Amino acid sequence: MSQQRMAIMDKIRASHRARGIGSSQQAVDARLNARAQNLVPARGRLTGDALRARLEQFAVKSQASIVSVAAPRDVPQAIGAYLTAHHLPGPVRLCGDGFLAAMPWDLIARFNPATGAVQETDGVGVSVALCAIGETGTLMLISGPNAASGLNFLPPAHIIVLRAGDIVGALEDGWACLRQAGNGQMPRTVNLITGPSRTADIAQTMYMGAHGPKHLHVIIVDNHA
Amino acid sequence: MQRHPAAFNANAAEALLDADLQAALGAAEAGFGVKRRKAIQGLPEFEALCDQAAAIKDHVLDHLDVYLQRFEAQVFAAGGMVHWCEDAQQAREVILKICRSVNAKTVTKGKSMVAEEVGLNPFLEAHNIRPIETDLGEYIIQLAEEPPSHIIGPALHKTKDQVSDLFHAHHAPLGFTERQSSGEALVGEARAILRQKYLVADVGVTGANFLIAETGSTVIVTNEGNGDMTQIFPRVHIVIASIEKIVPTLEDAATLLRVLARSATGQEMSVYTTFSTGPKRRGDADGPEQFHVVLLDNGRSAMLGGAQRDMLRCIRCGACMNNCPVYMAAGGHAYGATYMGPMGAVLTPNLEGVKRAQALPFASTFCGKCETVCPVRIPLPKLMRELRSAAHMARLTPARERLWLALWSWVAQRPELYHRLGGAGMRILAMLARGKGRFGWLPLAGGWTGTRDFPAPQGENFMAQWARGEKDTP
Repeated sequence: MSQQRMAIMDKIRASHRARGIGSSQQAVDARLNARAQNLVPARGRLTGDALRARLEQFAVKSQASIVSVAAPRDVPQAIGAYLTAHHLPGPVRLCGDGFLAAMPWDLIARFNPATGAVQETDGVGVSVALCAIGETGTLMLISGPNAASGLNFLPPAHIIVLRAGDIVGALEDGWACLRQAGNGQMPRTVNLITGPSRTADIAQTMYMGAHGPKHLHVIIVDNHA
Repeated sequence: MQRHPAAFNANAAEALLDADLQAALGAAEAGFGVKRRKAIQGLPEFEALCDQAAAIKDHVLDHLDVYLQRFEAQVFAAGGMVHWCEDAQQAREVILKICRSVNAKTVTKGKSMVAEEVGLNPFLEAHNIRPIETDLGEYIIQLAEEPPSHIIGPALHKTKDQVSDLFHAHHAPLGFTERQSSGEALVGEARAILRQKYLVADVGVTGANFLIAETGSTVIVTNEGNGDMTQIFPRVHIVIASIEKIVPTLEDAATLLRVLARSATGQEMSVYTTFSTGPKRRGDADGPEQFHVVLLDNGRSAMLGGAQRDMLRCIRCGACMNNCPVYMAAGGHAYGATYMGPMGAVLTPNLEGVKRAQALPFASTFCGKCETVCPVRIPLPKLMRELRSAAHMARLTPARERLWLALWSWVAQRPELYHRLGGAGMRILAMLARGKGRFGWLPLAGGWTGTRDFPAPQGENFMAQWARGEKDTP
């Protein structure tokens, strides 16, 4: 135990004594074990079609665009259509997620889709969301062997593929997905993404694409295994 | 502008005459209020969430030592390191040591007010390590060699024209020879230049909005994405944060996130909220090889036991300064300290000493708006009042001011005398101002009449009218 650590702890405890309170291991354990939810706003408690509509509404409000496709095999063409409509160049960098691996990428061979480490020259990054949070139109992505966090930030356009069954109401429901995915362990990086990158640092005016992607596009897959 | 809190009055006077600054502040003031109000209207539970947010922070402060231990254990379990620092110097030394251990030449930096508090950049520069600010606002002021003027909008004091000139001067040698005047082009230029830096930096330093005890995670809340590239690409990620940033669980973080962005920028949620836990895992596609959390005390553990403890609930949203008439007139640099506005007027005397910063708690009209908008219910006017009182008791305020206060308080405790003197003074003033109804100059009131007229009393005070029996007149 470092000397500095002890000194800080001593000062904290002296301050507690000065107030006539004592910290309690039991109180802390109880709170950490309970993981009790605080007030969850009504807008985070929607389900079904209302939840789906709310997610789409807030995603658009955050300046993202969002479309649905029927099945995983429709994703590459949806990406091709989006890139063409927005005059966005490839190459398309795919994350290593198995969900993407099974899709017919040869349909958009003109955008050079490929997996592997993200390059500075990549035009588009494609990731798979762990879940999406209807309350704010937020996408949750986690890092792992098949998911580089850099892919979410470096290319100028970011496309997130979302299974319709992974849409949840509130942030708290997102935490449940996260705990389940990691089997209790946190991944190195959890990205909560709400819209494309922006800045208001020049004269309080909003400009898109500050450092991260200028474009964020969400593709919901309705029927998935 | 002098970088000393004692210079507040002189700095503020200078700021009021600075046309560029006034233009920049005007634009900011108009935007912030409307955006925050709109965001809150969309969430009926907002006030209840603020109550809960304050309760979470109070609970953490009550058990801070235990929570810090738990946080440390969880960081360690995830493969990271925690470094405890009692003061700024220890924090600088620890960070330098980590940088040297990997022979770092350049360090990219996400936005961190705690790094600013410990003076990290000049220290690294003095040791031949180049810190590169990557948040656009921080990048602008790094080029301008100025400190931040706002905790979430560091370059809030700059006009677009000033940024154009600054970029032109600094970017021309890099090949960007044309002076850009559109905002898009300026953002694009900074983007292109900083993009190279993320990929070559040896170390990335970020701050933290929250430290999660349950998981050992550090959390940053941003809109640009620079904080993420700062920590993903270099080999080493260093997080610098102060000890009161602890939050127990992810559930508690959810509550705080709901009030933070809405209070700060009026967004439902900031664009990027990122939880970082340890270094990259075995087999991970990317991420840093080392993860260090530098925990800074710097006076906070002592605040915990005193009357100013409530200030430790602060989540650095900036709503207090966005809604402060004094901040919006004088700007952030006038405070001459790392933290500005109402939160800075309270925190600075606590961190730097009442003696050094005694002027700041007086930089308030006590209109109370800061307390109204604070998402963690910090009674800022009350805390400033206590600091004013402490400065008075310690005889740090001007002797003449204390003398007048003592005289006034002596008279005020004698109602009969007070009313007689008040009534007499009023009659004399009314007589002197006959015909004009105002004064262009008054002895002892130069501070007022120097910039505006003083309205003349109409001849009789309330007590005199009451005594004359006008109490029944509506």
